[in-house]
Amino acid sequence: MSSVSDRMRQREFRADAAGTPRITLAHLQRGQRARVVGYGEGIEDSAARRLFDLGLSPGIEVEMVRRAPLRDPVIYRVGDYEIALRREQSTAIHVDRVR
Amino acid sequence: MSPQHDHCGAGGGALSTANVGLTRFAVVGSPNSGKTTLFNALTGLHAKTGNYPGVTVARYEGRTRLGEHGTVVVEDLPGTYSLDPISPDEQIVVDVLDTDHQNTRVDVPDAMLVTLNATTLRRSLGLLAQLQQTGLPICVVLTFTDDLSRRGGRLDIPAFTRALGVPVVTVVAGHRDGLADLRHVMARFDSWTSPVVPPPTDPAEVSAWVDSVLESSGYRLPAVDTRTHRIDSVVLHPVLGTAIFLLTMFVFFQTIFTVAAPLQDSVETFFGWLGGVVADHVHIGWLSAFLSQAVIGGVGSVLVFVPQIALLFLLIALLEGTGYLARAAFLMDRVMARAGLEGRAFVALLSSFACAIPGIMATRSLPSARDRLATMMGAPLMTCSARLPVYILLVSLLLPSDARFGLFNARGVVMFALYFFGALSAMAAAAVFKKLTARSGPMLPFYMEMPPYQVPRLKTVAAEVWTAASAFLRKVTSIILATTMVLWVLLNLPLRGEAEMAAAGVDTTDDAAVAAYVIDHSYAASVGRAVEPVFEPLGFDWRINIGILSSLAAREVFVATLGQVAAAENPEEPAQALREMTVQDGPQAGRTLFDAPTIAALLVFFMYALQCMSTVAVLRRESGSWKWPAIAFSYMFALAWAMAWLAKTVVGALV
Amino acid sequence: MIGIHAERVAGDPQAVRWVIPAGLLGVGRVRRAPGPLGAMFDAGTLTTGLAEHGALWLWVSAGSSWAAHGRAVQSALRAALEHPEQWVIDPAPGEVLARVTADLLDGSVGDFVRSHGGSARAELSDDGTVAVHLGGACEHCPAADLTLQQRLLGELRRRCPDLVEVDRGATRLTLALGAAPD
Repeated sequence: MSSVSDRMRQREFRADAAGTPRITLAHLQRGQRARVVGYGEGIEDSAARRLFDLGLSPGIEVEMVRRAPLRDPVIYRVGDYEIALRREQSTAIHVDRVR
Repeated sequence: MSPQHDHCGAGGGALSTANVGLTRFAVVGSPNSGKTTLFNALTGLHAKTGNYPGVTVARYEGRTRLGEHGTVVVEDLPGTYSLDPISPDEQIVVDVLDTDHQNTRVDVPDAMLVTLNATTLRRSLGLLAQLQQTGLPICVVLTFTDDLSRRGGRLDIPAFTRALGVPVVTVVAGHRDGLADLRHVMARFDSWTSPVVPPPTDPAEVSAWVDSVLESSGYRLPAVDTRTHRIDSVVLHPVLGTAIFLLTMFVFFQTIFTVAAPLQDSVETFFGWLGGVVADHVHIGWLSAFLSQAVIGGVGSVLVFVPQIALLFLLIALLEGTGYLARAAFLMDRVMARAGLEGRAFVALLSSFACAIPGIMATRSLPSARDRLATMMGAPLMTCSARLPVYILLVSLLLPSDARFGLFNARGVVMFALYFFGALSAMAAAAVFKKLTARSGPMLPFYMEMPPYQVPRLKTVAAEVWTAASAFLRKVTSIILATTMVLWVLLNLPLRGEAEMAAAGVDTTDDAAVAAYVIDHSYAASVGRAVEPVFEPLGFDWRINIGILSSLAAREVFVATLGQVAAAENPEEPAQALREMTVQDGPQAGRTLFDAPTIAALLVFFMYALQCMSTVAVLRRESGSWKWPAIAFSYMFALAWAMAWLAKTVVGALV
Repeated sequence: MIGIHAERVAGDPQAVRWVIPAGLLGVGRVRRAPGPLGAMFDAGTLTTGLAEHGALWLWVSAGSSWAAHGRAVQSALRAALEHPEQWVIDPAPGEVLARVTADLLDGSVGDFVRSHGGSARAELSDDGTVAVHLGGACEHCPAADLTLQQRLLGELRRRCPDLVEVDRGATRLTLALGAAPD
């Protein structure tokens, strides 16, 4: 079982450092859709892994559904379910807008 | 989240020695995959709970019969999204499934039941791919297939089974057939098929593998749950949603006071009647007194709370069953974040208004171990129902019923202030503990799934309320009953002879005077006087001291104790006796015992002190060691003493 | 990234049916494959490859097992599928159709027939057609025609879009892939 964890540790999810400023999940307005591109530098490895396991993997389409009355957290639709994220996490997920 | 299981358990290889040697199944799955519902359905609420050795992670183990194939053990592993552990919970799952046997703390299961939520298959299959690397026999239990078809999704199950290469059983909550099929399949676990080639481990390859499997299974994504969506546009609306939330909280609190009152009255009347029956029919003096004061008084004071607590458990179970609690957590998250916590901690603290025990157990819903601990350390400061009789007694001594504070009833204002500051202190304490444990692990990112709204299954709700209420009853009754009985004995011994009393100037024909003398010179009194140095600065005398010492077992006992002492002095009007009590000796002799500064000190003391052995026991169980309950007890005692002294000084200066 | 997954073949432990993106390769026998996959063929680890419309059947040699080579084949196959133009596949419509039909008769369709007391078998003829015969209780069953039509044909057509019905009787069906033989 430890061998499984070791194999997992070779994963790499960071967004290619292309240098181009990308928009993040936090920039989406209500109803806007986007495709996940990768993760930024602002979060720890463990957080990035968790977001990947939750389904926010590169290539997946997400939609911003609504904000909490106090502006945070925000509910996003990811594939077939909804998940609430705080600004801290959503600013670290890079996306491309989808029309 | 209400407690769902009976309590027992020591850590170690198996949770119960009776389970050693039986075949072990582990139920694995992500949160919200119906895992716990499946576990409950299989083991029927007779599961044992405990902790994994050395960590703040709850452990559930139960048994189920597989027809003629005997009994097997089923273990509900913590919900996990991945075998890449980033929290102690997930580390536990990794350890348990360690087929390389590098961990020696827990037994590796013989087979796995993996719950997959049919409405979130794309994500769930990623976990299955990881689990298939362990080499353990796997059976997939597909849940929420009814939800899938209701929302227009589709899945060809035989094709899905072929694509996965493992047995797949569909189980719909509330339908028995699926369970019977599952048990048949479980009986033959050593002949379960396994994939001819295990799925890839690289994350990009796994995603592609998942796509391939879902494609050949004809998977059609369920449509957005329009019902949930429409309800959420109201419930989570900035204005309407907040209003609905406040309304829900208002109803919640009204229940504590108003709705339960008639039920409480009936319980009180019943015990009053019972006391009368005992007095009439039991003619042995001491036995009659023992039964009416210690037993009926003790048990009665607990049972009076059952309607209120049961009602609160019911409300919470209903809110949780519909899915509203996730929305409440979502709305409160920003506020909780100020204390370094998150929205789900709000739910745990809310439950603590009924009783800290279910509140502490509700912290299991928090994915972060640090959050769990911090919330557990703060939860006992929430004003629980046990404090209510103490507050009511003291406030009625302090203020007349018609006193007004501006426009409002003065008593009401004081009660509200006590509740409010209790909640504020709980949040502050949790924030402090969160900071203090900063070194013990990485900060878990916040995420919360918003499950679809459901009509709560009445049977499940009823079962949850029953388990919670009966666990509360059993635990608390035994402690309170034992304490009041011991207390009664200590208050009435040693027996004093007539000659001795006559010599002390007591009129031996006056029952009240005799009783007062006995109590004044009882063992309990000696203990009360012995701790006077500690409590004297707060204005307490030995009678209050015994009350406080006995309330360490359970707060309600304080009222019963004072009642016994007061009734000894004035059996007809114990309340009057309390008002008239004066300090007997020492520098403050002659002062009315229950004057404003002392009452204020007493109120504040009860606000902060951890006076509930049951809570200590639950803290020990949920945190995995004695360290944390000891810390909680000490810090709360110190805080209680300091704040009580402050209250006494301030009120003393004002009055 | 190309998505594939492996399925067991009932009764043949040396075979695995790899489900691949439909239409990626031609239909027939694999003569050559690129990259490490081709090397495995050359080394004799893999003996045969048969491509259907949406899947690739691979046989591992008698002395080896999928437990030993499965992972390697998986990555090699994925890599090889990135270059479909480098594969060489000899058309073998009859063989592929026979294989798919046998698969169905061993599986869901056959189970249905057998559960009603019938039997089913498929025969590959020299002209590349496959004849399916229903027997047992099916011979006197009024629904035999329907069984052949809906179940078998329906399933077959989903897996072999090129399916052509050559001839039909009450309990007998003759099929071919692609153009009917003259």
